[in-house]
Amino acid sequence: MMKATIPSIARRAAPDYAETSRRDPAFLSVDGLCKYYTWRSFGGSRPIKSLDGVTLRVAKGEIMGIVGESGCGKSTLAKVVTRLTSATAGQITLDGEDWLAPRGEALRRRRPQVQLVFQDPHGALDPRMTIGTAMAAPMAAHGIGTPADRRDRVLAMLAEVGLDESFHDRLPAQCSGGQLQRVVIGRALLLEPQLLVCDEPTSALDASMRTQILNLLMDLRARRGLTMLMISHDLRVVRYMCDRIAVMYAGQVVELADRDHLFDHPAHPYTRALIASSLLEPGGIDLSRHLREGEVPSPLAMPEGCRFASRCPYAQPDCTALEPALKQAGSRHFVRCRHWNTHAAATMPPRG
Amino acid sequence: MAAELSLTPARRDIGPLRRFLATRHWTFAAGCTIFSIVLAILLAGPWLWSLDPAAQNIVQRLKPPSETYWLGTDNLGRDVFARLVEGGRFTVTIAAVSVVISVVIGVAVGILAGRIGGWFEEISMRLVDLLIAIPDTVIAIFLVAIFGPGHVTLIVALTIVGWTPYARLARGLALQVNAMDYIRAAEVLGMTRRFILIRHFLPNLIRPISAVTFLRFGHKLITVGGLSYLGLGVQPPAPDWGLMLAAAQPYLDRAPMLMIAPGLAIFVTALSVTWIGHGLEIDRTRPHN
Amino acid sequence: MSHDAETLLSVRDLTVTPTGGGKPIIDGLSLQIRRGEIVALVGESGSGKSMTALAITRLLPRGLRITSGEVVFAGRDVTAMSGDDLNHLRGAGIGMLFQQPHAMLDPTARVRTQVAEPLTIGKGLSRRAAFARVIDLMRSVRIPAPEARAMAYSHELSGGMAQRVMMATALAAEPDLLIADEPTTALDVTVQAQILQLLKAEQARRHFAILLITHDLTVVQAFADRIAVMYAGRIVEEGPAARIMDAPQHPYTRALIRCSLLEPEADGRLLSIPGSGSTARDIGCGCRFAPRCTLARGDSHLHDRCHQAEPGLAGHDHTVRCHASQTASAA
Repeated sequence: MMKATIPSIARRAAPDYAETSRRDPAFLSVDGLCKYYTWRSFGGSRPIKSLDGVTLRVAKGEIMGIVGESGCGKSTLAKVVTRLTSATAGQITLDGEDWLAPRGEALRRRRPQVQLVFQDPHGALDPRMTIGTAMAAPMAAHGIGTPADRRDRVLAMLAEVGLDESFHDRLPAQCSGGQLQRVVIGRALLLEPQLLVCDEPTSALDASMRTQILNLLMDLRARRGLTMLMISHDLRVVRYMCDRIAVMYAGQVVELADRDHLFDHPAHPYTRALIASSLLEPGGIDLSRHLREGEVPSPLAMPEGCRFASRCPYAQPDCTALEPALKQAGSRHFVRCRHWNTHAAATMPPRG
Repeated sequence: MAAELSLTPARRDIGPLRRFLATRHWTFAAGCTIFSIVLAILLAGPWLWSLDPAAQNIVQRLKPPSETYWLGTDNLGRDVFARLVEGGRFTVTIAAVSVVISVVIGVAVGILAGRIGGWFEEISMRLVDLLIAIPDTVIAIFLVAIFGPGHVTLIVALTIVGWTPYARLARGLALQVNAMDYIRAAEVLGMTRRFILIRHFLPNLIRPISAVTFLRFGHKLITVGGLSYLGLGVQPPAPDWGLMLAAAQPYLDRAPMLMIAPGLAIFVTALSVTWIGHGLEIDRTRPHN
Repeated sequence: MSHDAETLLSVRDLTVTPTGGGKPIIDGLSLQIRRGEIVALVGESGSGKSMTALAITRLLPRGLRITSGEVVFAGRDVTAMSGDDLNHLRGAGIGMLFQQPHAMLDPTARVRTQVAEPLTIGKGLSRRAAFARVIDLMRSVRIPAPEARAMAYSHELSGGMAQRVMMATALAAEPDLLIADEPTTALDVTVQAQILQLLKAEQARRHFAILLITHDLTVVQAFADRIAVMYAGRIVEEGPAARIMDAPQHPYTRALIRCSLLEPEADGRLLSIPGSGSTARDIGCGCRFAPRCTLARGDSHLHDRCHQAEPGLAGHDHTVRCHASQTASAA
């Protein structure tokens, strides 16, 4: 049984970096966010540190990418931000208001502000409910419009996401994955959210469907000025979509930078390994330069020092002793690595 | 829009009800037919059959089946067929009422346990564990000792334990539905609790719950018969299938029909509803899961 | 294409149809794999690529059957095999890797027991000898601390480790052909790259052939010798990997390559193939890709031809099923 607990380090020092940019007042700000689950066994209980002190600032209209591999905590971040699960510690402020404060009915009333696009559109729609009902019901739940009015809005939204009126009366089983993902996006947008969290929105789709959905999201962003949190394991997706990218590893942000800067000057060894394995020709490069064949640390027993040290080809003795902090590496570039300066320039040939 | 291309002009010609019926196992049709016949006889019996089930006629006692008495007469010269129809009305009603109450309580508790979890789940499920360990016969004996025998006691006795399997099943199903992404979607979209319960949970529960309901209904019929047989249920002179079986015992060698008729009635009715339940459960077009 | 001594697997005009009748989901598919060659079968969901793999090993699910064509593996017709021959084929001739390694491992058996199975049952080694061999195999697929992991159960392994164990099991039987059906799709990107590198290294060392089935063209480019692209139950283009990737002839292949790269076009948008679905069910009489094809839409003369007659597979060594490209190369 998993249950949230209060961690021992919940009150540790203030977040170790602050966004320097004055130009973009933070629209969404996540501060020192922690989510610990409790692993119970006969020997007692241990915390599983799924999120461990995540701090992010997202400006209005910005698309922030969150990349990392399975278990890095990126999906937990999506769950906490969409209030599907509680935070163990930390704060989230949305447009100046405490987003973690409302509960019960007050929370339900404010839910439209933050919407979620799921990985598997087949699962995100009740197979027994027609597309029209599924899209109109949330508006009814928030007292938006009359039934006739809601029907018009649904039809208009279907058109906006590129589906025709015939979809209104269809069941999910009569649609393809790409079509359903359009429905899921449309359903979320009908509530006019301020923040759209996309949790791997294209990884369950075929290549030809994937580009359709990504184009659609970009169109909607241009038209509506959407602020988005784009969670993905696919660097190609975030490279196309995002303005800034946060790389997560073992529950922490290990690198955060503007998109182009991150791809041109990756500072963290893990970021370089990710880029090498997903953007360059797989099999054509020698990955062992970027990655040792170690295991990802278990969230049950996080090491004392750097969490990437077990797979890092540059690990020094001091890496395993002390945990590095997220430090500034450029005007809008942050990295959680003690030695980034010494190995960054040497290993990554300039791209292009 | 080019997006339409992939669509086969789906199976919209055939409605959901017809599709449902078309994919049933043969036991569904067989069970429905037999049970409808039994119900029709039980409902229409008193009008079709003029003989009074309570009228005694000592001269005509223990007669074999004849033109007047289709199934013969009992030790007091009462018509067995009339008593079978009358008794069936008691037996089936008692079983049905207790099953319906059990389903309502069980499903409510089960969904709440699966959806809310926490202490409610812990307490209700431990209660289920406790009650499932007690046979309903024991509870019936206990209640009869306090309140005396009768219909109400019988229904209460059957319901006290009867709701537990539904609670277990409903909780399991609710947990399954609760794990679906569309429930997460409903939460993020800010749907009301009522909507989530009625539009997402209930429709997913109806089929498996009704299948089990029919399966358990057959079992309940037999239990009602058994309790009455033991003298814990319907009291004479009111007829009941179980009671008729009990009363037939001394005359087994002289008038076997006294035993066969109610026994067969319980068997056929129980079998038919069990078949309905079985047929509801199984989709013959899909392989077994 | 000719049958020569080098040909390991030859599939000719393979057609797989639902038992109840209906359109075939694999329609007249032909494919050759030479010894030691890596062939990638690329297609989107519903294209029939996984069913092709299952048909080759005669593992088609109930409701589907081979209605015509032949599958010749190492000189023997697989479609005519039965019983022991099939078991021997699957046990020793053809190894398989699947997308979900955990689903393929027995949760109640230790890793070494499973890896040793082809050695004890297939090759008749003693358990002791087999276990010693298991450690070597696990080391060769670079499982760290193989002695400890040999004693583990599958649920104690990460996805990447489980896939390495599957690979060790497949290699234990020393197959001539390894069919890998989306072997890295369920894995993390860094692990994906490691597994593919490993697969290629083992292939080079042991010289077995690989049939890689995938939806992801980017995985394929540096990995395969030849690529076959499937659409709606048909191969639409087949040829040497470098030529397919550098100069794709079929509009579907071309679009698929652009789609997988996720690099913006000149207008800043991603190229997308309009419409959806590539299943064989909804196919008319013309080219199966015609309804989604920009070439067929752009040119009215082509439009009629593409929608009325299905093009044949034409070309030598690099074959294409497209009216437009055949016209262009003839001119």
